[in-house]
Amino acid sequence: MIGILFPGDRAYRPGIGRELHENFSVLGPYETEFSLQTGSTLADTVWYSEATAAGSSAGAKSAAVLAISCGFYQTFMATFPLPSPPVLIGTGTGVLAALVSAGALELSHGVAIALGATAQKSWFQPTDIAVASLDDAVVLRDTDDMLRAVNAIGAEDDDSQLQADALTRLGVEIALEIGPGDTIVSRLRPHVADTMITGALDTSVNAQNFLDTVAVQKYLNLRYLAERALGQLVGTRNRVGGTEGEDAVLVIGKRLRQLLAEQPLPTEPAEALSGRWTDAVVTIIDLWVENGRLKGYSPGEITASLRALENSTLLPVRFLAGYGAEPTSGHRKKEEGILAH
Amino acid sequence: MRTDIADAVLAGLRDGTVSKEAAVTLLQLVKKESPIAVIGLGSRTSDSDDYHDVWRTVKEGGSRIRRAPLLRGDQIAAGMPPGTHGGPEHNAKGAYIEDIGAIDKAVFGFDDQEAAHLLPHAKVVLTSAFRAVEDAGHVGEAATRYRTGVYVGYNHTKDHLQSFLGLAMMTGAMTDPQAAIFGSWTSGIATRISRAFDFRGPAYVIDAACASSTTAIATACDAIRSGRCDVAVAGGFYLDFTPVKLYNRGGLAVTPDDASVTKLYDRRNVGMYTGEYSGFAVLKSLDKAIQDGDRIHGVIEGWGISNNGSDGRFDQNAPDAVEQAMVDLIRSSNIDVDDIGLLLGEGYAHPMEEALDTMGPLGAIRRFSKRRQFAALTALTPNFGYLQSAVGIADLTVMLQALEHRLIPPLPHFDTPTDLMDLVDSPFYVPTSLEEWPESPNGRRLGIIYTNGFGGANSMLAVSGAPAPAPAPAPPTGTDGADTTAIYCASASDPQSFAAKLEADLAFLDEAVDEDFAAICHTSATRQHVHDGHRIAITAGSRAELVEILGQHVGGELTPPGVYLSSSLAGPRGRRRAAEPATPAEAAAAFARGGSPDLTAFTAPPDRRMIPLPRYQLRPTRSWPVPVPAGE
Repeated sequence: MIGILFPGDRAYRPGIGRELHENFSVLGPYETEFSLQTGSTLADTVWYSEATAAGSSAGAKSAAVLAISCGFYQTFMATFPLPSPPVLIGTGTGVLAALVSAGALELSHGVAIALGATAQKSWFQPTDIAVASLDDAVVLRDTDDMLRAVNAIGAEDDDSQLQADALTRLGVEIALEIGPGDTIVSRLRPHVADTMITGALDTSVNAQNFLDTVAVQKYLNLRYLAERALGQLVGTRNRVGGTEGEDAVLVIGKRLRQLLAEQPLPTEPAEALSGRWTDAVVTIIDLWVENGRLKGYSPGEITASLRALENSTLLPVRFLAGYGAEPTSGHRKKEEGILAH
Repeated sequence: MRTDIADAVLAGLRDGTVSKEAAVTLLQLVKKESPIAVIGLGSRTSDSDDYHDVWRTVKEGGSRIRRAPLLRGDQIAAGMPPGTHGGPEHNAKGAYIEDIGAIDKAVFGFDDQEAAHLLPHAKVVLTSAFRAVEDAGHVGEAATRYRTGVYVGYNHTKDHLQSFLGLAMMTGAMTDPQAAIFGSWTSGIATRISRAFDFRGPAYVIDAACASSTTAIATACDAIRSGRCDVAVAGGFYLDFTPVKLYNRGGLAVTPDDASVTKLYDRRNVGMYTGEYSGFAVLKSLDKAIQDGDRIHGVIEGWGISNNGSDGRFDQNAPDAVEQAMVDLIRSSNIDVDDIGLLLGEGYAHPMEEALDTMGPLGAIRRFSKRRQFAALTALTPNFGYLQSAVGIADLTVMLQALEHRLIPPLPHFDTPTDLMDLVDSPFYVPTSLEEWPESPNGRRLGIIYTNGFGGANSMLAVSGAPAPAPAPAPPTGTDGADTTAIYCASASDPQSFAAKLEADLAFLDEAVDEDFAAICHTSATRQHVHDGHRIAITAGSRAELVEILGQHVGGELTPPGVYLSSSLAGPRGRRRAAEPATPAEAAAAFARGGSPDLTAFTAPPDRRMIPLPRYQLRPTRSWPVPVPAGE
């Protein structure tokens, strides 16, 4: 199951979501609502005036994170049409963004609560999209649950192990942080199970990463996976040297280019998760692993590279390729030799 | 090269007293004797004047690319057609310096009128040069015995669209035409550095398009090796004075829209954004740097400047000519290509041009080694935008810190390689994450910087890490009866910077080791910029005593024993050199009064080492021509 993580107001800092604002139109309604209720603008509170931003109230900053998180979610869903809806999981005031994105809470009420209004039960409505709170690992099944969760919003929990366990209890296999920055997954990564994928659509260190992911459609995209494997060939230093190994790496490059030329690898998420392309994924990941082995990387390093690949593509490549957690320790084809195929 | 020894070797070769093999070995050894040390770095980027931030951004795979500041739109408004400026939607995207009008007037001695009319290019350059010479400790007494040159790389093509002087005229702010014209004097970009620091060597601006700052550095290396100067402040800058969408449109590899991402060496490479940067390195021959106890960032082992001649188009590189130029560099520098761990390239994000830019170095390295994928290939364009004339100095700033930390920085956004060249079948790989920079089979780490400019200009540098520093002498004990008294000095142009400097120095001294006490005092007294406004000198026998006395002073005691303050001393003031003081107390008092006593003499030679002290707190204020109200 894919879980979308919404951060709380701790994700606020001047400049968040600026690339989203400048390059997509999804934030329009949120900007209008924000201005109506705060008398300020997101431009002043977040994007273009650090001095004004610094003077903004805590409520305005919460409302800004809420608005921007919802905008990121809409952009994600428009770019990556999932075969089944994800579960929306909020932490702290991120619960409000999860509820608004799920259609369980009107935007105007969500902004009002972020600004300090007391939530009313009538503001919530049932929805088909599952919403949960990361802070207590509870799925909000009805409006009573939603009201209770919103009333319980306090200081964000930063117990990483507790939150990592909560993701597991909620049945999340792919956790994608969707709000501004990467305040949750970067903290949880060391605490989640090895098989759990933890991605972040936006990153605080480089806001261009969000644009890149959306433009290239990096998530759940098998064609990108094959191209990315070619990138891995170009992107890894050869620690070993020697003509034989170097020539073998050239052959891997030829195999990947051949695969790209001959296979109509799909770009749609539904196809990637359908199980119909297992053979291609097996080939791609086998070649990935072989490249690492030929260039002198340890099994642990190769596994780490595959985990990073999973986090950046949301594809459970080790699972799809039939590997265990440690592909090179229990390599199915270790004895056969991939290049012999 | 040391020509005296080289000439003797060549004479021996001619008369048969030196064998050919021995001559080659000797010449290589001689050549090795005089590489150039980089002893200081300074930079000015979007919101920082700290070169460590440049490395931090690159190391993390970060980006400084965003909408140009609204302030810039206000600053250039007078020169813009109606409807093309004012809102964020009018501003171009790139890595822009926040306020190009900011300058610390007190430090550089400008009055309001001069500062307002001073070319913003010169303001940015002065600030980064200040940081470089501060980092080198090439100021104060330490600099006076050397002839220092200034070499500034800069391409001003885009300034023809809208000059600062023209803008001032349109603003109606040319109330003082002489100040306006002098402030925009283009050679002043270099000579104002010489004036600010009393440097007496050559000082000029160099234009080699996008190879400008690399060419300035290479020219400075030539000047040091030839003896034209002893020390050089070399680097360059690029300002995109009018970063508005009206001018920064597609073409010349600019991205088609603001949602595009710079993807070098990638099949989805669609272009790049502009970046602004100013930076300098302080250069000195390695033997002198070692002798002077300089902190050495790294060594420039070789450099080359050439042109592609009639090969290629004006706006296109010519791989064969570049290959030959790089072969010349490799041979003349006596470097082993197998030592190359990182090549910082031009980073011009056009699919064909980046391939042409890469093929030259690729071909040159292949002539000497058939190994594949052993050297990282990257560039700074995804981090800082395309820095044009400043690419080389930014590359050097990153390369030296990569060597220092023994890390290869990642190239952001690269993931699906271009089909226009097969980098798997090349010496290069493109680093996608921060990784260790391993030693070569020869036990070395070597970096290459290659830049190319329109018109066929090539400039390249071969850079290695710093030699191991000499061990610090044993800490003074005072038990043998020797006098361990040292003089600590600080000064500032305004009271706030003075207080900030003393507090920062106190914290630094508190954490320092006793072995460095004398060297810290030596650095403070002889290797810091000397300001006239506020001065302090303290005599102390140990680090602990200095911490105690400085702490008392910072804590509010105006003149504890051992403290000499500019504000509390009577007597003749000024820089004139009186009779040389005989004791530390006399020297401290003379310094505080505004004199220039010889303070080097009070430090034993082994302790005459440069210890980087906390940076001076510059207090820049916004200085820009103010529109004259209508009717005046």
